[in-house]
Amino acid sequence: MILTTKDTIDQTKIFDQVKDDSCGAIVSFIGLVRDHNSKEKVEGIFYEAYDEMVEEILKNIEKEVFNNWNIKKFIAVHRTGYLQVGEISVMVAVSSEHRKEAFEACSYGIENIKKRCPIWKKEKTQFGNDWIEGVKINE
Amino acid sequence: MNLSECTTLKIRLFGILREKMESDNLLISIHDTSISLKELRKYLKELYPSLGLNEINFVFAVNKVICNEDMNVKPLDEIAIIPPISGG
Repeated sequence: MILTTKDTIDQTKIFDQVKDDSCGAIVSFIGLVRDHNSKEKVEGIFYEAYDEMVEEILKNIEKEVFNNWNIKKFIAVHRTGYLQVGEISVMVAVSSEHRKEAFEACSYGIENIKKRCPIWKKEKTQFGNDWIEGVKINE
Repeated sequence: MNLSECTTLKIRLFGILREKMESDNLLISIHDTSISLKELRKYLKELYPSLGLNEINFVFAVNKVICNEDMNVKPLDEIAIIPPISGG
């Protein structure tokens, strides 16, 4: 399962979906909205995505993960819209027979989402709303 | 070249660019059936100085794929300006 969603990301549901009786390991990464940046307090973050392109890129990342690691299931979900501090912005979960493959595939998944998916965020602080200066897309 | 020979390109905007233009799209008329992304970059900078395209390191996506700017685009292509990303 790979997608962007406006709905709250339910980590328990994703855990149940990625779990498989043939697997001895699940590794997940959960990205959260932090209450500060390098200078000030953050009240929330607005995420915007080019949804159709993100889903194409997530499909590519999913293919690469299955080609490179012996894993059972791969789930990647990115939230869009306004999120409050503490809410989950992104989750990647991988199941495999043994932990090494799951750790590596999960790390590859989140690193590539950050480098390749056209998603933007705008932080809300007491001083206003600012788009975060990002990095040039790498796809 | 008269106006009837113009074709229109629709360019999707996101993030800070969408907000600056207060619109999800730009409609650009070109005097040909296609234009290279390199030419489009130059054209957009001249036509929309308020977008601040000189200040950001943007790329183009065509039909959801990041493309080399030697590529030509046509009216039916889905063109998007991709400013620096910050997901996660």
